[in-house]
Amino acid sequence: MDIELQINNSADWRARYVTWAPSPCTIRLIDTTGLTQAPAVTLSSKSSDTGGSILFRTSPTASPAVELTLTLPLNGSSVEFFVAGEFGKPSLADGDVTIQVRSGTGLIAEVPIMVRIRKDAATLSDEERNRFIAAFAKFNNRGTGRFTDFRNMHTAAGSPEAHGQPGFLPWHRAYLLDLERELQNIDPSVALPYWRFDRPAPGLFTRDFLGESGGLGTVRFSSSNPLQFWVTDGVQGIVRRPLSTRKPKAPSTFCLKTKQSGWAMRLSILRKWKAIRTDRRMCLSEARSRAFPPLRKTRCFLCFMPTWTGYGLNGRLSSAGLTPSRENRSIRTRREAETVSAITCPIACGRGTELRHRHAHPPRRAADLLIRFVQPCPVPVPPCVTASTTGGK
Amino acid sequence: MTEPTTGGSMRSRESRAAALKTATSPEEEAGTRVAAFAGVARAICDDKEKLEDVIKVLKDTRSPQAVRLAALRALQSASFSVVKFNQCRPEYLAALRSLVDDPDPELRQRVLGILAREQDGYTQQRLLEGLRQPEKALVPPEKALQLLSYDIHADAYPVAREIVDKPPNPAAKREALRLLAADAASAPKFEEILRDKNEPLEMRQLSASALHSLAPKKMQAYARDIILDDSESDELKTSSLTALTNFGDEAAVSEDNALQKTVDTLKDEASSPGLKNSAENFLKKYRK
Repeated sequence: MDIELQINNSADWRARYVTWAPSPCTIRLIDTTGLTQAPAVTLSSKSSDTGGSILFRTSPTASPAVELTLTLPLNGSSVEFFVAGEFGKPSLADGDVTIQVRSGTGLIAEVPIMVRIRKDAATLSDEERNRFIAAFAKFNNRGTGRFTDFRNMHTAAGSPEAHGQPGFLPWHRAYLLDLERELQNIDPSVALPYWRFDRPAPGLFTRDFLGESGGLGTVRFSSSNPLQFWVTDGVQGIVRRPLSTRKPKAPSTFCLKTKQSGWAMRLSILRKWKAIRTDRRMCLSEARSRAFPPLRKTRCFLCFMPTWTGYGLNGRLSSAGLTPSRENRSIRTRREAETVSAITCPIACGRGTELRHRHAHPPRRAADLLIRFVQPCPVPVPPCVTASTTGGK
Repeated sequence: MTEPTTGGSMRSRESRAAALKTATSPEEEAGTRVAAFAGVARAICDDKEKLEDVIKVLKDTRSPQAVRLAALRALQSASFSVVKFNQCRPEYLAALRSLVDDPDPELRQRVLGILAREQDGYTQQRLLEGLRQPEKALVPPEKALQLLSYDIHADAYPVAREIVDKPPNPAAKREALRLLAADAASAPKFEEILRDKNEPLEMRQLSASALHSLAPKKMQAYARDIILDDSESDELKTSSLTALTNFGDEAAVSEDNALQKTVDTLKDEASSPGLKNSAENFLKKYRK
């Protein structure tokens, strides 16, 4: 029994790449010698220990399964099915997962495929990283490759066509997809990785990957990195200003949800704080209590539930360099949820403390969250405030 | 209690106008002005008057350095909206040109960097003058060479060749070699440096990369010789293997049995992990 299996509706080996979304596939009999009735075949997958994992479906919206049994018509017509990568289990190498077709216990066909997705650049394995940079170096091809066209879109001549226009964002997605396809023409196992710049990525700007900038900005690569042969407009190498060694000030966040900062409000509070602190005879806690009202009971303007409010913490947020991390927990019912923010004490001592905010979910307007910064009961008074009231630091 | 604001970071015209006022006001604290400059780019994009206000801050040598740099960043951000900024571009560039002699070295370097990327002729002229007459230098020679490399038509090759022969420091020689990598007439110089085992490794690697662009076939021959030479450093052998693996003539390299045999030995016996990996990659590609 001979069959034909098509992935992404193509028998070409270049089509043997799937993602999380179901890819259309077909299977049909091409040699029915000796068959008297339509045979049933079972589709399953085989994967290496670190390979990707796939699931089968009869339709894009059907439930996924690790195996699928199909009956193949004797007249050779195609039967459609769908294959998708199992979420969270992408491939590490090309062809590390195989679709196996069995009739009974006998293996009829095996097709290696790859669950190819865009990954976090900081989590790439050495092989994935090396394949990516080799493809990119080839794409540049010492300044003579197709990369020049993509780069020219960012020069002053080409830039106004795309940048600064309303369609920029969707344009750029298509641009990146085109670039990725060009890389895949060189090496089909490559996908464009992304950079989570809100997380540490110590392995990114190293000599083995995207290079290290010296003090002058000239990027250096290791001897085994093909990006060392990069050429732009005939000029050897890459110049990239080194990342600042100064610790960046964490942005102040008034909004627990959107982390947006209202600078206008921040400035007015800073002025108020400055006006009061110019009187140096005043101690910190006295200045704080004068500048900002003490905590008082109020009602949440979002849901009108009882809560507390205090602008003291608000006022110091902008200059204290907060780096909040947040954990949202629903503690009782859907009506009430608690937001816990781990912050450094914004008053003076900089020690860790917590701010908890309770209000009903969902908030009525996201913009409303900019306005207040509230504390629930029991009030976790920052340590330095407690200490200052008792005469300590 | 402070009045609530809607939206977030400076989306309204009024808040941008207020930000600009704060940023350009000398009475405000430096930190406040720097924070305010973060959002004025949209305000000055297509408004010459507001642009002039920001330029005044940039040119004011009495303002703190952080404020002047923030003003420069704001102008750079505004210039990214190419279409809207077009009408303001001449004033912007003229203002930058007036700052090439600024006493603040960081500001001066940033301004020269922007102008060099714009391929500004006046800037290139001043940088070349500084290389020829060090007392007139605006930035260190290696920085000047790096800035001149943004434009291959900057006519910097003659002075770069002089610096390669008589470098004031190793960084300047390196940048001069990098700049000359676009000059076909410098290929013999790169060959000479690559063949000279007394040259520092970095210079030889740079020469190998440059030859790879200028004369790929010659570079392939040199790469082969380097790999076969037992006295050569592992780093240079790794670079050569990388060049052949990624850009080599597949037909010629596949048929080169002596080379393949040597690389096979390197894969097993080399002490450097980088060289071993490069040898493995080479053999994966070319082994018959």
